[in-house]
Amino acid sequence: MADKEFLGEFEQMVLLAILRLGTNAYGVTIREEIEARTGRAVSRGAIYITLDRLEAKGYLRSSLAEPTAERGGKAKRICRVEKAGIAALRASRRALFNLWHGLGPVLRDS
Amino acid sequence: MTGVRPPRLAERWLHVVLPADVAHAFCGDLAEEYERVRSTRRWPAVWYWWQTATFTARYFIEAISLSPRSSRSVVRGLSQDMRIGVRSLVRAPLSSLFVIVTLAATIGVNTAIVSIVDAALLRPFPYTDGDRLVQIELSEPQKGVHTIETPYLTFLEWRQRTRTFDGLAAHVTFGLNLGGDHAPEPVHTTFASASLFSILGVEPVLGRVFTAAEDAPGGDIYKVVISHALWQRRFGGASDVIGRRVLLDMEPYTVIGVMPRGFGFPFRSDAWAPAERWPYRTSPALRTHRVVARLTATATIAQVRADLEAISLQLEREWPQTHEGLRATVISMRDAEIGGVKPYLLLLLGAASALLLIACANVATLMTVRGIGRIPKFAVRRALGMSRWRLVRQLAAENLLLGSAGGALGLFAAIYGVGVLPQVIPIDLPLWFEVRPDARMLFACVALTLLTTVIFGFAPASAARRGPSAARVATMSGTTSMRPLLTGGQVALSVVLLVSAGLLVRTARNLNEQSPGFRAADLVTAHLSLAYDKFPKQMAVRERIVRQTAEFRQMEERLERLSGVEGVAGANNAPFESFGARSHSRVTAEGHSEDAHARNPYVERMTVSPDYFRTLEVPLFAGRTFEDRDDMDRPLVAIVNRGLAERLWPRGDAIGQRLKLGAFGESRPWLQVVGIVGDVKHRALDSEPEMVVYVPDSQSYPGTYTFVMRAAGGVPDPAAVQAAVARVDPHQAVFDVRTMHRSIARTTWPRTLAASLLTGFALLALLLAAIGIYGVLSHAVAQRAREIGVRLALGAQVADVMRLVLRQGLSIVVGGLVSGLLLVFFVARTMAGLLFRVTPVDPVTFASVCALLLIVALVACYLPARRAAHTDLNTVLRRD
Repeated sequence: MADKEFLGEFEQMVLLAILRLGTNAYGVTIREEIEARTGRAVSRGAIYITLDRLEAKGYLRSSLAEPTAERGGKAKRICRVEKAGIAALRASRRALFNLWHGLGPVLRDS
Repeated sequence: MTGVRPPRLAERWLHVVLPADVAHAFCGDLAEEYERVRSTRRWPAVWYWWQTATFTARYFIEAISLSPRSSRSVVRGLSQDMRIGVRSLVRAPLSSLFVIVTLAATIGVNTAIVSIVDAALLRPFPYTDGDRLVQIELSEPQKGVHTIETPYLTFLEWRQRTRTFDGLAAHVTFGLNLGGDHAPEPVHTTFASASLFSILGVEPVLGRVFTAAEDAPGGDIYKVVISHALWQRRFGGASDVIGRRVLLDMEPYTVIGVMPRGFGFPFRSDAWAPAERWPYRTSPALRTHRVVARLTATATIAQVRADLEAISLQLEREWPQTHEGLRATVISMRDAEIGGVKPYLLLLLGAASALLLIACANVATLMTVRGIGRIPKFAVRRALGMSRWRLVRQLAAENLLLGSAGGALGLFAAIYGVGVLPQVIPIDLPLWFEVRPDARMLFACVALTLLTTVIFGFAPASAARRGPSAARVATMSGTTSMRPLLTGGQVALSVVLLVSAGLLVRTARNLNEQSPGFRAADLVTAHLSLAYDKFPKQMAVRERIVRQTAEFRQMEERLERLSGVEGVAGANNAPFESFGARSHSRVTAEGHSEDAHARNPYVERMTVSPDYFRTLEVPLFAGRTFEDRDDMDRPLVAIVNRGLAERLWPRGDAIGQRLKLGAFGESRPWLQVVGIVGDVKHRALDSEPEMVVYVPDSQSYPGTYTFVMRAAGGVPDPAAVQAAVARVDPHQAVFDVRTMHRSIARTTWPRTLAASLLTGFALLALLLAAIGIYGVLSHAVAQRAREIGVRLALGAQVADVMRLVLRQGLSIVVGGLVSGLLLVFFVARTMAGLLFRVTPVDPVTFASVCALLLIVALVACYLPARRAAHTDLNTVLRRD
């Protein structure tokens, strides 16, 4: 299934952000990372629903960390990308790269 | 933990609506960010709520839309929830039915009121940029007098001098007789300045409107623009109507345009002709025209007031005789049209909202009690692996089912309610005011239903949310401790509604007890508009009056022959009628100084037939009434009302004195006072009686004529009235045959209607509160059954147990009553302007409401108390 279905743009962003953040990837930091890198405002609802979906597909796994006082006694939902997630990212990148390949002269100015 | 906690209620909401793990992590995220936001934003709580709302919305929308698979499962889950919901509602049919009926009544009431408020106050005014339209009125601050109408000449001065308006137009509406091939048809015709149409921003659908050149002295004034309705009715919508000749009051006018459907400015006019055509326009004493104006794009109300004040002062300097003390005031067009009804609408809106809250509290209480009864069932489901989230969803589905059923029935109730509105309001509503079932009403109903469902569903859902664990029963009773509070709140709101209703009912009763100064029962009026050019132009005024009077007497004779009619009289205008123009002017008593003259009140001049006072049963206090001999060959005579006689001749020697109408020194004929009659109210039952100078119709020519018939046998058939009049003058149309009671109701209806609606709301509120009290106590008694049983077994008396329960119930009631009284103390003050001869803190009303409430509460408490007193310990123990 993962071979046939490519990741959506936002799903890629979320997975890449988690990878960049290492062990500190959770709702707040993922959103900030995407906003900082892409300059695009991201809704909290979209992040959560995407995390749910990626987790359901087996691309990432989340676990609750220790609750902290800073968070009003609530735990962070720490996310980690699974092997299947990395494979899906690769597949998406390859597909896109193949499509980009050879279009350098056309797209140079834009 | 550092800093301040985020809003607890928002957190709680998230925990109720979201899956537990999502809620947990998201609340943590928000708490973390909240710390940062607090240092950078002014209202961090608003930010928090906004995030809560948008997250919830986004989460659900995306959960459904992003993944087709999950949406399918959501739909499947939903339909399953709904099925289970229906089943559980059917299993408790009585309480379900009660909830649905309660919701239907309150949602229906609220939808209807919101729709009416929307139509009256919120919908865009039907004219272009309608919020810049104003009406300029005339007031005399020193005398406390205010009139909507203005002399035409004053209007002309205003128009010339003002700088803060894009345009001013004067208009006055009369009933004219539309003649021609058909039977004479009454047509409300507005004589207006040419600029009226551009000020309102309305274009004709056919032809054109008249030009400024046509509305000027010497212009071609015989032009008429007709309404869409008249075009359809009289001309069958013919496209060649432009250029046709019509006879209005026997004069030929050319139709030049047709206005769009629904246009009837100022009210329900069917034709518009140039203001210059109106023949009486030049008298400076007659306040006849209304003035509508459009503010310039930049003018502020303050500038407009300053502008008008400056003009008023100029006019006062230039024409002290006619403009002394007169000031122009400005009000918005919307307020001019419905301003009088606005406070009642807001009052009813407030009352309906209170009713909604009461109903929500009731339903919430009931649903929580039901929830408690289902704890074991929930516990089993939880043990079998059902998530808490799923449980909440199921409760939400049940609530939504109840809410939707109530909302749907409520919508029908609302549609019916606004449908009967025109029948219970005795006036013709403005053409633009339309409340009908449409998308806006549907939206209002859906929004109200959702709001209600959220309010009443919150408590039970959050209770269930905490999960049916073993320790939960205790938690649950924690929620039930909120219920007496909810019930107390219901009682408090009911007190507010009952007192407001009581005050209005007393107001309406006081109004109806007011005597108008004549016997209104069995009186019927019918209006004639007299064609100004009915007689040849060269005919002397004297001759016209003689001929017209002869016609009146013949018409009266014929009307008297109609079945049921006992007496007929006529006047240029009848009390409580606004068909003809009322002319107000200064009055001068012979021999009085100019200073004394300046203090005289404005008087209304009425032209009446000899039988007027006898037919209306207005008492004669001195002298005589008019007689047939008071004709043009005899000295001019007048009758004054007692109030005026006392003002002008305080020594009581009014009979035989002479007075004249108009400004001091104006050359007008003297009239000899031959009689003093009782004071009569002309405008409203709560207004002061009018100061009136009556003159006989045999010595004065009225522009309009109203027949007043004493008809104990009911309202004569309008067709018969028309036929009787047409026998004498075939060109004369008859307008509006109706009873005096209806005419009076036209001035009192906002109060009486608001009083009866509010009474209905208040009684419904009382009933709901009583059911609430009953419910809370019944539940308490059931919970304490074992304790009560033990007490009884140990020798407690029945009276002791009853006292115990009653005390619990009455403490809730008294708490609610006291807070309600405190609340209503402030609410009633805002109603002061709507009351008549009742103070906002009327002791009678307050005492009756307290008594009524206590009696009802006692009954509601008594039933559970009696049940408690007959508790049988054996049964209780066996049940447990």
